Amino acid sequence: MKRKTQIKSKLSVAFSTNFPEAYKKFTLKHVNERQGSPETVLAKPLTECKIALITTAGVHLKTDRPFDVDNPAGDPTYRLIPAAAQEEELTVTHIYYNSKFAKTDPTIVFPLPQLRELKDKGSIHSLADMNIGLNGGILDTSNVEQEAIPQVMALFENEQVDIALLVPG
Amino acid sequence: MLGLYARALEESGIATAMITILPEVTDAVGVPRTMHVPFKLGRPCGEPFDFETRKKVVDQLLALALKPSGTRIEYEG
Repeated sequence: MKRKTQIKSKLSVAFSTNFPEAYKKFTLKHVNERQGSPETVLAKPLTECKIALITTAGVHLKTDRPFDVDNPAGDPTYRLIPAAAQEEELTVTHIYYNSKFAKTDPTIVFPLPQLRELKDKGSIHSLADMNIGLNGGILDTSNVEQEAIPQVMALFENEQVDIALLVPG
Repeated sequence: MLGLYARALEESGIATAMITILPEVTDAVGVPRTMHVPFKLGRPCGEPFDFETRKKVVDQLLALALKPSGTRIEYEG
């Protein structure tokens, strides 16, 4: 991470921590408002469902390429996280929140072990083989909508995922 | 950005449930189903090593996925 990015990260975290109302206003100003709510209705119980996890908290395997936080436009790409990934194999790369807590315990942004427990108990049918790590803080999302989202949709459809749980940063 | 994923997933036949720390923002994006949590930014599933809370968050999210689109719930600790 460049020195410039480190300073930007410190300022951003200080801003969102000390001025939560201003941070909310800033974020609201940059959202693309959408009308209506698309809907999938599940036709089966949880015990028959395959679950996938997606986060924008910047989670990735330590062996994988970190997100490019030096790019001012943000990193629109995604990282694949296998269902069996252990906590010590994961890390986070993100500059818009204080990531030291998530580095200590990645389950605060990516509760994969809790989903594995539910699978072992039979409360859910299974986990997606591949789960998704994203890096939030992207203001222009057109690239994400044209590339990453269709690819992730194809991946999940191929895996026959029933439910996706989404966790922000 | 996560809200855009949520909408695309629902359009692809995959039900979603999303944690939100800023409900005004997720409502503006039209995220189909959200659970508002009282936790800090960067700790959406609670404090490190608080696995009791983690389990409750996951259980409540899964239950939310079965509810109609447009449902907003508050996390119950």
